Amino acid sequence: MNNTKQESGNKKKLILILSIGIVICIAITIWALFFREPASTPDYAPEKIEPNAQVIDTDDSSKLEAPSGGGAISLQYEDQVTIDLSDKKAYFNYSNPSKSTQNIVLEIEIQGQTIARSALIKPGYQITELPLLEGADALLSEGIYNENAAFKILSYDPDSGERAMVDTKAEITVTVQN
Amino acid sequence: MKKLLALALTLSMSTTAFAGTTGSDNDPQTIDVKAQYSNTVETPVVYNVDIKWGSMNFTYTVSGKKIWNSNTHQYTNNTSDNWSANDNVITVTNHSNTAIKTNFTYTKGSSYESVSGSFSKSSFTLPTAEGKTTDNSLLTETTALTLSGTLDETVTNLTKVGTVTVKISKE
Repeated sequence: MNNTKQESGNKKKLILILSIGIVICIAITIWALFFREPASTPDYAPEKIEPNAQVIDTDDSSKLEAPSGGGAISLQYEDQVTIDLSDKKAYFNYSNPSKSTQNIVLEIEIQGQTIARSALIKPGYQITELPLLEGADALLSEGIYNENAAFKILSYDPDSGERAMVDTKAEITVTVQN
Repeated sequence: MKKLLALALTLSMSTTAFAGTTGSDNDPQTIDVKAQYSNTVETPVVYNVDIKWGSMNFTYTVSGKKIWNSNTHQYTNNTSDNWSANDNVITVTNHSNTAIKTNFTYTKGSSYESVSGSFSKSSFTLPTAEGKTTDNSLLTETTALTLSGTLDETVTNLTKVGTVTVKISKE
């Protein structure tokens, strides 16, 4: 009789503990889905230099005159981007000419989602491909995205590494293929 | 007789060999030669835009007097506030072989919802650089950022309160 009561008590405790665990898991899931702030771009430049960046040949332009305390960038690009889902890469043409006074980080954004991000690109360098961010391929389907697709250019002071107050967005057309 | 006839026939064959189809041997031959222009040159659009910006430093100044009322034990606010800017201009120059449209937006910092921003020109169009010199004034335009709202008195050092986004699109 006592054993039966003890077993019953133990079962009740176990059920209680499991119930509390389930409630905690549900709470965490709800927080992660609805309340967690998305990862934001850092206010300081990444230390890593973009490995896919190449020197721009025949670029002997002199630096833009930037106001004191401000900055200046020059952007050169073609607005057609191709994404190949089979190798999970984006192909395009983008240059940060020598006359820029800022280092940049280049992002490709589609419908508000960042699907690719470069490391640091210095003035005098160009880039023609970037791997997609992990999981980004799952957000895309074959076809053409010509609305809400853009290059996002984040500028960073080359000395302090601090992110500039001015970001740039350039509209692009993205063709996704397999 | 037979020999004479053979000789005559031989001589007539030789003459025939030199006969032409159009008559006289001295007329020149003309053959028409025709040509046409085919343009398969591609001219991809290349965007090349310079963007310059000033220090974007602003000061929120509250001035005047707060007068103590000993009857109510409260201050009467006789103060005013204003924003002043130090180098708040953004300049855009178009070197593309197409016209571009430029839009400006201000995004508040997450901890500075009380500070708003607006521009003297929220958008403008710049013509194509094709056919223009690099210093053509038509290719450059400026806008100035102005802040409004209030800033907490605890923010006594220059602190990032927001971000400007310059958006470039085809005209």
